[in-house]
Order: sequence, then structure tokens, then C-alpha cells
Amino acid sequence: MKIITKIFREEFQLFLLYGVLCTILIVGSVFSPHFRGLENIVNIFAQAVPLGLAAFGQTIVLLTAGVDLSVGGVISISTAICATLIHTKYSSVIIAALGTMLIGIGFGYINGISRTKLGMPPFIATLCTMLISQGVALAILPRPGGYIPSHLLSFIGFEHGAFRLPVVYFFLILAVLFILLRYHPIGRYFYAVGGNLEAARASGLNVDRIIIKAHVLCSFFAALAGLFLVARINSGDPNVGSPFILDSIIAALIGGTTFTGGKGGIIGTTAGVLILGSISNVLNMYSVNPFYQYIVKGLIFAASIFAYSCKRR
Amino acid sequence: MKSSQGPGEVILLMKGISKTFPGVQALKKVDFELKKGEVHALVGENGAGKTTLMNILNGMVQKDEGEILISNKEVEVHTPLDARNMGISFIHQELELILNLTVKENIFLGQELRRGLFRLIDWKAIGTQTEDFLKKLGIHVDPNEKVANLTIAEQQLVEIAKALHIKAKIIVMDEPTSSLTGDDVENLFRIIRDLKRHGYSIIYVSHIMEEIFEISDRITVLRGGNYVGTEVTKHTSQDKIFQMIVGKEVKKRYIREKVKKGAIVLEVKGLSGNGAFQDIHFELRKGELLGIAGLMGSGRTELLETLFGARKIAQGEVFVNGKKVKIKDPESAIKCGFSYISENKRDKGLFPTLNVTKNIVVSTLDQHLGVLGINELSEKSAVLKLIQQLNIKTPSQKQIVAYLSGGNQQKVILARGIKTKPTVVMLNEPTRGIDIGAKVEIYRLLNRLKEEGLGIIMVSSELPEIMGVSDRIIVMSAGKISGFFESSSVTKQEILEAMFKYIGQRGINEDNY
Repeated sequence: MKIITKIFREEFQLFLLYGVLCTILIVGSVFSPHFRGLENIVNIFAQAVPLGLAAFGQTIVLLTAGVDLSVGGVISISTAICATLIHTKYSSVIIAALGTMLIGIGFGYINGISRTKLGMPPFIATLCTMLISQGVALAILPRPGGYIPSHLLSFIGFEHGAFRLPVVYFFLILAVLFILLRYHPIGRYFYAVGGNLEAARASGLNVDRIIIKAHVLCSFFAALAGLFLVARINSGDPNVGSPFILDSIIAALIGGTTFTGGKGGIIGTTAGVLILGSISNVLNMYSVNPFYQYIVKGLIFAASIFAYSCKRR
Repeated sequence: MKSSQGPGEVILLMKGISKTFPGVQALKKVDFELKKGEVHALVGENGAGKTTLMNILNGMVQKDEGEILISNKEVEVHTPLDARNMGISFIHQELELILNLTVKENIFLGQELRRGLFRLIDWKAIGTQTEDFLKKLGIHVDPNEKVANLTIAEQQLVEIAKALHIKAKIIVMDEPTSSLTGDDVENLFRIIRDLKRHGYSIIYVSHIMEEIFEISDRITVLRGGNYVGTEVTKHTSQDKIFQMIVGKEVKKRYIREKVKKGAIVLEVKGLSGNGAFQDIHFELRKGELLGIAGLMGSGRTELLETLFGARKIAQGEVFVNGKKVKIKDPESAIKCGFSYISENKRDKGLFPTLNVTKNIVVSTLDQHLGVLGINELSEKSAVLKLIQQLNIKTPSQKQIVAYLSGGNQQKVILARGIKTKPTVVMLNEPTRGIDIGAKVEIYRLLNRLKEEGLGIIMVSSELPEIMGVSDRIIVMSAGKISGFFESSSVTKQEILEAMFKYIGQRGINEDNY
């Protein structure tokens, strides 16, 4: 019991976040019979998977006091390549998936190099790759299309009744990342670099390598998010990634990660993603006009940031 | 409370001030009195309550109990703006100027002069007024210069001008000399004396005894949130104040224990850095503390940073335990056995958002890797041992480092440095800005490290500290070694002469000011 109260005190912020999430789910369930169905709840989770992955990557970069605006473009490329590569005769699913991931990682590497070796601010560096990746996506696949064979679908997007394979993947990845951030030195180093770059350097950390790794991980997760999107929409789409740029940042910030780095984590980000997902699900149930959905999203974002700044005072 | 000599009505009276923060009582019925035209020093260890008392005066923190009287009228200070309107102005340790604006823009910020139909800013009037105002204060700074282009000392003077410009009667200075050097300190004191003559009252918060005794009229000491007493500076001694601060009999302010010297652990031959220093030779033995004295810009900091791989070696060789080593970057320096505790601890050493444990183990995570990643149990036991060994005052090993006092933050960084099991520990200004009690603890710790067979290099601007703690002293002047001394036989005069020996031959490296 003592341990529970201790954890509660130390991680009060996370409890609060998940409290808000539960409140949304409960309120939604009370007022809407459609919402409270098991299938709908599971769907909220399944739909949140691509954003969740992108937001994980974004969280890692935010921890190092950076930001990645290229996630949207990388997601788009990822769907475009996947749809085109699988379409050609010689390519198998594996090659398509690997190709996708490699391109993703490549962009992360470029981001990391521009930020460290070329000394570009992360916002600028990733703004460049955002434009480039967007252009590449359009060049590969000018308009939505492409055919995805069913075995890829079942490998990634299998579902049966209330079972959704993507959700299982999601929680597996969450677990692996949680361990990485908490029990692997690199996770510690992300926090250190974001907390105080000079101190990290003086502590003998190879700061450049750590930042590059953060960006590679981020783009890797963006590419992965693209794969999960392909499995859901059954085709490639060169514009599908755009909303993920801001949504991934918003989800991470709602989850308590800060723009200044060194603080936050993926458990909070998961809550942020699910809060965004369940809100838009509830609003869709009541067929609220998408314009107003943006307003609601904005207000929730503002409220969470306000809550954090209150806590600091 | 003893009263001061001469006339002067009481301008500020804080009576029976108490404040409790969650878990700690920061102030217990503290009294403080300030007279017109007086410089009143407020001293005490970190955590003694100085900052809280001043924050209450500034309206940043609300008192639980007690009253504040300004010119015999009871007042309530709820916000910093209230304080400002009552004529109380603060000059903080971290300067609060906008670097990209000019001097005159900073001084008139928020109270720009306007004129004409459209109430536009009257820059011309602001310019001439600033110029007159600065001249009156004896501050020689161009009002049209960007603050970013001024030296730290000049910026500080601008900050004082800004404070006076809002028609303050009471000026609180928090560690105003922490970023100044000799001449600038003198200049600051001249201005403070000037202000005194014009009837301003100054609360002077500082750790540096010599300064307090030079500039203050009275001294009030706080300890652990309690009011200890107020002394008239002329009628008391440094030892007396020192004892009031620490609260117990402390025999010596500096500690140097004789440790049997061992083999040579570090040998530096003909080392030159890019412009900052040339042809440095010295050796360091096991169990020896080597002090490096020198003015700012003498190359002492650059020498340490070069040995730690943060700067490139232009020429020369470094031997550790008789083996020649190649230092490329801090990572390789740590592997060679160096550990460096830098000057600006807050900027260069701490991870403010992380907890004590993570701050201490960040350089040595390899020691705690198990099959399943970081072993938090071994981490915890190692950190708890260091917390005990270094006497780090923290509620737990999980406390966020930003909330520790300066002295304890310094110990956290020391703990990290020791944990790499270094052969040579290099410290740059290890006791700057920390309180006297914590200083003594750091000296004890350095002596313990000597006994454990480490070689220590310490750079310090405080001559008594260098002379009192080191075994041997190197003096650097304009990038060259200008003297080697055994500290048991050296005099202050000899060190000072050596510090100035080569100045003028090469000019002082302006960048380092």
C-alpha cells in the first residue's frame, strides 16, 4: 500500500492524465450507446496506433530539446513506397516493408546530421526535410492509389471480432520503448542531452551520436506508422501524413513532455494520443462538424498546457 | 538589535516574519531593520532564509506571519509590482536585461517617454535623459550600445541604473560581485558608496566576507530560518560573523592535511592551446593538491578544459601514470582518468530536470548495466553511498536536482566526477557561490580524496583559498606559468606579483572577460 501511495505521489501527473482519459471514456459511454460498445472502444485504440507510433518518435526528439516536422512527410513516403513496391512484380512484402523502413531511417539520419554536424536548429533542419519528404512522396505516388495484397494486411492489420492485431503491436512497442527509455543508457542520455547539452558534453557523453540516434528512432517510428496506415486504408496516399506533424507534437505535449527537453515520457504520450482519439470519436458519434472538433482539440491542448504551467508555479 | 552609529531614520522594518513551505519552516520570526543611507549586509548559509526573506520583501512569496513597515507605515507586498511601487528595487544574480535592446531602451523599458499627437516614443529625450542619468551615477556606458555588446560588469552597472531609474529608495543586491573581477568590484563599491551618500539604502546579500566587511555598515546573520543577530561592521570581526553563520566553533576556515605524496600521476610537457596559453610544464603527484592561481583570462580555465578534451591541444604532451595519452574529447579524457568539475556548474554541469541519481550516474552507466539494461538497485546503492560520503543534503536520491541548494548541487557534480574513479580530479572555482559551511565540507572532501591517492588540480580566484588548501601553487599570467610555489612558505604578495608578471607583454585576452 505504501508503495502504491509513493508511486501515486511521484507520478501524480500521469494519474491525472489517465483520470482525464477514463472520464472521457465514461462520460462517452453514459451518453452514447454506440460509444460504449466493446468494438468501438477497441476501435479507438486501433485507430490511435499510427498517431501513437508517430508521437512516440516525436516524444524522443522532444526529450532531446528538438522537434521533428518531417514525420508527416516520412509517413506519406512510407505509404507511397509501400503501395508502389508491393505493386511491382519482383517485390515481396518483406522488401517493401524493409525499403520503407530504410527510407524512414535515412531521413532521420539526415535530420540528426543537419542538427549536430551542420549546426542547424532542429526546427529548421526538419522543416527542410519536411518539404523534401513531402515532395518525394508526391513524386513516387502523385495521387492516392496502389494495391495492397491481403497477406500484408493480415500480417499487420489482422482483426477478428473484437481482436485487433495493431493494438497488440502497439502495446509491445510501448513496452520495448518504455524499457529502452528507462533501463537502457541511451534513454537516460536522451533526457540528459535535452536537460543540459553542455553538462552532457562535460559528462563525457557523445552528444552528437545521441541526438542522431533520437532522430533516427523518430523517423523509424514515423515510417512504421506509415505501414500501419497502409494496412488500414489499403492503399498509399502522398498526403496522408500531414496532420500527423502537429498531432504528434500535441499528443506528446498533452502527455507532459516539454518543448524545452529533458522532461516527459511515452506513458504520458500514450495518454495524450488516446485522449485525442477518444475525443474525436465521441464528437464523431454526435456528428459534430469537424470545424468544431478542431476547436475542441485546441481547447483541450490549451487546458493541459495551462495545467502544467500552474503546477510549476 | 544593536543600533548603528550616527543618524538615519529606519526606512524599512521587517518584524517577526515567518514562512512555512510544505515540509520546511523557512523563516521563524525573523527581524530585519534597514536605515536610510545604510548598506546592510544579509548573510547566512544557503537555506538560512536570506532568499525567502528577500522574496517576501519583493512580493514573490507571501509571508505567513509578521509585518513589514516602510517609513513607519505598515504595508502589504503582494506582487513584485507592489514592491516596485513602494520604491524597492532588486538586482538579481542573473541579470534581467534584454540583450538585444540598447542601454537606453532597457533603462526606460515599460516607462518610455511619449510625445505628440500619436503618443509616439520620444527616443531623443530618452537618449539625453539616459546620458545625463548615467553621467550622474558615474557610469561610462554608451546609451545607444546594445546590452549584448557590453561586458558583464557594464551590464551590471546598467542594471543598477535601471533599478535607480524607477525611483527606488531601497535596493537589494543579491551576490552582485559573483561575475565581476577586481577592478569592476572596486567600481561597483564606488557607486554603492555614492548611492549611500545620496540617501539610498542598500541590502547587500553576499557570501564573500572580505566584501561584506569592506562595504557594509551593519551585518545581519540568519541561520536555519532563525534570526541570529545584527552587528555593527566596525565593531565586529570576520571570525565572529563566521561563527554566527556556522553556529558552532569552527577552528579553521581552510583545511590542508599532510598526505604522503606518491608517484607522479600527471605530467604535462610543453602544452599549448590555441592562443590561450603556451608552453605549460608541470607535474602532479598522488595525494597532492595543486592550486592554479591567475587572473581571469590568464589561461587557467582553458588549461583545464584542454586537459579535459573540451579544447584542442595545439602542441605538447600529456602523460598519465607515466604513459603518454591522447585526449580528443571529454569521452577520451574520462577514459584516461581525468575528471573535471567546471566553473559554471549550473550551465555546464547539471541536468536540472533530472533527479539526483540520474545526475550522478550519467557518466558511469556502464557500471550498472545488467542483462536487462540498467540495474536500478545497484545504481541506488552506489548513489546512496555517495550521498552519505559527500554529505549531500537531499530528501531522497530521487529529488529533482534543480530544487537542491547550490552547495549540494556542487556536491552532486563532485559525486559524478569521483564516480568515474579518476586518477586526476580538476576543479574550477569549486566553492564559488556556495556558503561557508559547504565550503568547509568541500575542503574536507578534497583532503579525503588526497588520502585516497588522487591527484587534484584546483583553480580558484580566492587567494586565501588557494593558499590555505593547496600543497603547491602554480601561478599563470597571460597564458604562461609565472611562478611555482610551495604553499607553506609563499606570501600573498609573491602570488600577486606573479599573477601580473606577463601582463602587458601580450595584452590581456579580451574574450575571456
